[in-house]
Amino acid sequence: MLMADKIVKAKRYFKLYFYFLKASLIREGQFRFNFYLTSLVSFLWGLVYLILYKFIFGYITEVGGWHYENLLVLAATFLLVNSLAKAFFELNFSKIATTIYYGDLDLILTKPLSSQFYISLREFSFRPFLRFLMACGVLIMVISNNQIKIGLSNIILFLFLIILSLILIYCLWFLTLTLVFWLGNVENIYELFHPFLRFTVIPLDILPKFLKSFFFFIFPLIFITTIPVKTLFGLISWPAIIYGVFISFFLLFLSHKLWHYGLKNYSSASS
Amino acid sequence: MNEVNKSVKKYLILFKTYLQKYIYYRASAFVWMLSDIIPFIVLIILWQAVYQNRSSIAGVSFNQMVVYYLSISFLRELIYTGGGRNTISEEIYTGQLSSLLLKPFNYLKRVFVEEISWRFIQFGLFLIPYVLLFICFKNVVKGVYNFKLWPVFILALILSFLISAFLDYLCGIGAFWLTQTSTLFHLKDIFYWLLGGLTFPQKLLPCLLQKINITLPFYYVFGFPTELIISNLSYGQIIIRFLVQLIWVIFLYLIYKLLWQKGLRKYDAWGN
Repeated sequence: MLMADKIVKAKRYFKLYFYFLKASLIREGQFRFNFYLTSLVSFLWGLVYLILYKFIFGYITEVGGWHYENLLVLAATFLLVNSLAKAFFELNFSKIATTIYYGDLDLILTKPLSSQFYISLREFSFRPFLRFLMACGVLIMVISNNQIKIGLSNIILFLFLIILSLILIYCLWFLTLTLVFWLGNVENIYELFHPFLRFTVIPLDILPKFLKSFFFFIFPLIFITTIPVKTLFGLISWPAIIYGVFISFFLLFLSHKLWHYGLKNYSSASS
Repeated sequence: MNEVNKSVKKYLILFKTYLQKYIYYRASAFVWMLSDIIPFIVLIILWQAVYQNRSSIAGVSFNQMVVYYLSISFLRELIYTGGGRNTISEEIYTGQLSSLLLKPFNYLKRVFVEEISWRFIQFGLFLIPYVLLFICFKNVVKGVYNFKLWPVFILALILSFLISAFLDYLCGIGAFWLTQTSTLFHLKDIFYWLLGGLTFPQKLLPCLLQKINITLPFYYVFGFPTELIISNLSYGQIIIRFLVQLIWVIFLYLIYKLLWQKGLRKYDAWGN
């Protein structure tokens, strides 16, 4: 495909995603009370993580080289990444198992666009917005209260790594969901990835060596919060970042291949 | 006596039926099991790093902390109920309640039987990784457990299950009045995580909060039975807490009965 064609195609998908966002906002506006309640619950759960951090780390000043303010920044980063992941993917991923199992995938496969794009990004959730704001607020507050000096380049690299961590979350989460093609209707398969994501609430470089290597090379959760936060504080490891970029795009490629391989096993519901 | 035997046989048949139904959902039970056990593994790993240069935090040693999480994850699988959301709320919203009220079962007893059959499957799957975890930490757990008061522990477990069930079912019957009850269940879970002892022992809370916490029901669901087997609570403390637990069971049951009657009067079903 020529470069110009690729640019046109990319623009088309961006425009389509803009319409998805608009439709999602209208949907949230239709059930406003439900939206306010779920936003509040999302905010409260975020607060629970911060309170628990406070209770657990209130008795110590340092763990594995991480001081209390660094750990708070990690907790806030976890909430930030978690909010964004929930906003982009949660509503879509909660429906994948039933969409595949009950044959509703037919309606998506007949559309003139990538089925993986549609099924992954069709709906955007505005409910984690309050939690997102809280995470940003805590980040700014901890950095300014402790007078931590952070350079602009570190912030830019941090934001880039947040985008990378979202790609990683998408790939790892999506890969677990493709199991539906072979396992059948496991109603809560969308929950399978959540407990593993919880590992990212702690700094993964304090783990024993073999676990640290596992979370770096094989199941790269270390790139979701630990490496972005260390980068923010100036502990930049370029080999790690380069590997992170490589593994994100490799997993994206793998998720794409597995999705299409799974579609070969998909039998429609005679629609 | 004949009537009692007939009643027990009726609920036993119901139990076997639900067991057959939930064996079909064993893959889902496996996912829930992972979802339940992994947070505790994360916490143990975290505390292992925290205790690197320390022997005790708020009077709790690392061994006690590990045993605490092993015990509380075990109890959570036994005690945490989901019937409020998956059964009661669902049946009220879909109108299935109408046909179930006509059946020759007490509704609450039927929900209990269904709950126990699901716990059976889930707990069965949980035992395998739990035993492996226990073997990994066998040197840590030695000498920490204290089963001298095992009859009190068993009684406390039963009361904990009842408190968990009534709190859960009270959220479930919110479906008579609210268009969605998920917020109630989330709020309940938030209190369990903050005050119920699911994340850390009660001792880590500030003193004032500890005193308030032992008057609330959340501590008695997970925290109290765990502390009975690993903490050195005095006999006086055990008696008082056991009584508070019993009072909560009775109080929650009475509230449930009252709200259930009010809810049924308000209940409308379409076309069932």
